[in-house]
Amino acid sequence: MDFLLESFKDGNFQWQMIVMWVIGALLIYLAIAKKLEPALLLPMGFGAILINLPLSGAATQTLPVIGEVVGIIDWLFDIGIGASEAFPLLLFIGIGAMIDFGPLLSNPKLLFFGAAAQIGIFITIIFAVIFGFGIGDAASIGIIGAADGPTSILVANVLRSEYMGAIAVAAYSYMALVPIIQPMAIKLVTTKKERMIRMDYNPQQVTRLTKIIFPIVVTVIAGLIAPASVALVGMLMFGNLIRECGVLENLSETAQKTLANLITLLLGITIAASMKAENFVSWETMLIMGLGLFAFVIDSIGGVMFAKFLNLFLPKGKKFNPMVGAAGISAFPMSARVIQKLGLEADPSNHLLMHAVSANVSGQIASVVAGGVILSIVPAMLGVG
Amino acid sequence: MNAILAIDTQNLKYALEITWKGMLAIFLVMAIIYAVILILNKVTVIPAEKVKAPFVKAGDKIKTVFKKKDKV
Repeated sequence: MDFLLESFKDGNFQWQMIVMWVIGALLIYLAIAKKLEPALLLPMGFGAILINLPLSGAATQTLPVIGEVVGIIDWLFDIGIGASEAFPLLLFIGIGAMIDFGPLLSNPKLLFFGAAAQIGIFITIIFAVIFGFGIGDAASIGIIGAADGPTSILVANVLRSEYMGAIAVAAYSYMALVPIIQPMAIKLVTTKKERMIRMDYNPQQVTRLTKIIFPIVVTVIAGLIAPASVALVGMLMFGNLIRECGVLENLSETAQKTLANLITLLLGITIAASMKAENFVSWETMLIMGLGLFAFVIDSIGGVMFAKFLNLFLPKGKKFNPMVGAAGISAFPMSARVIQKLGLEADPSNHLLMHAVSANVSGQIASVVAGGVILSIVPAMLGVG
Repeated sequence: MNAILAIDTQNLKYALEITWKGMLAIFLVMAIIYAVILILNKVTVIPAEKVKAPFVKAGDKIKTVFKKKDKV
């Protein structure tokens, strides 16, 4: 009957595996009971349990006599993320097809809030280096501040970070926790009077031609300035072009629903390959979770402070509500909803939703550009180091 | 990871370089996109004052897209 106890022999079982089961169960609980990013946290949680069973057939194992037997999760990881970054990139087609850039095109000055709210990425990179991470890992940790799961996974993979599992868990967990993190960060740096500032909303007419040209132009501009961003920005804008062209309704619908759902499903469970107990249960993981939270907070504060800075030069009545700056992170549409809610909390007749949505979609563009910029700069440094 | 807070000065220099270059590149991309959107909105939107309904005198027949045989 010894074969029944194979899992517990020769160091096949480690105590860290139990920790991973608990983490997996926690992620499943958060997904189901708290409805926090359930489409990703549930597959990640289940995958974390699946991959951390002793001698798990879902992971690649080396068996006596037979040799290496490839596990499905490791295989999916190798082809879908490791070899090609296909999963996160394909997901961007779906995301692009879901986004309506209309509010931003109608009020383009809010583009700059998307840029300002990426500051958390870079400040976090500096702190990650101070905490002793190498520059590749630090850049991968900083990109959690992009508030964009697929970008975080892609950057961590290209920079060969060994902490991809922790980075993905942090990115998706904090995206789900935006309604808790952002109000706290915003209230820290704004007064009630500032939160009550009203903003006029006079949307301009945006033609279909503009909406069609926009994704093509953005791809070319981003590509010329940060060539490594072309894959990210290009897929996002390709999805948006399918949506806006008006002749590919079926493809647009497929990208928004079938493709996005399928890739999300596979991405969630595949990322579990990087959540093996021996790599995941460490102090570095705790540190990464802390730095990820820090990145989200600094992003929000950065956006608010940028709006406050602009307000110094604007006449009364034309000032920005500084909370709109915090919507410049990529977590769409949660961040815009949070700002609308905070606006109503300060003044029940102050509606900031459309401004916040504009800033929020600009954050989507800025976060993928940030990912591309990091991929343009960091590999050269790694080559030198 | 080496000892926590054992700062590698070379990496810190790199991190600062990534920060200023990164923020500059993002703002530059956004500024160019902003300019392009302004131009696109100027070029593609027909000003409201140019969109005029044809003047119709009292008693004139109004052209419609419907044909006589169509039942409306």
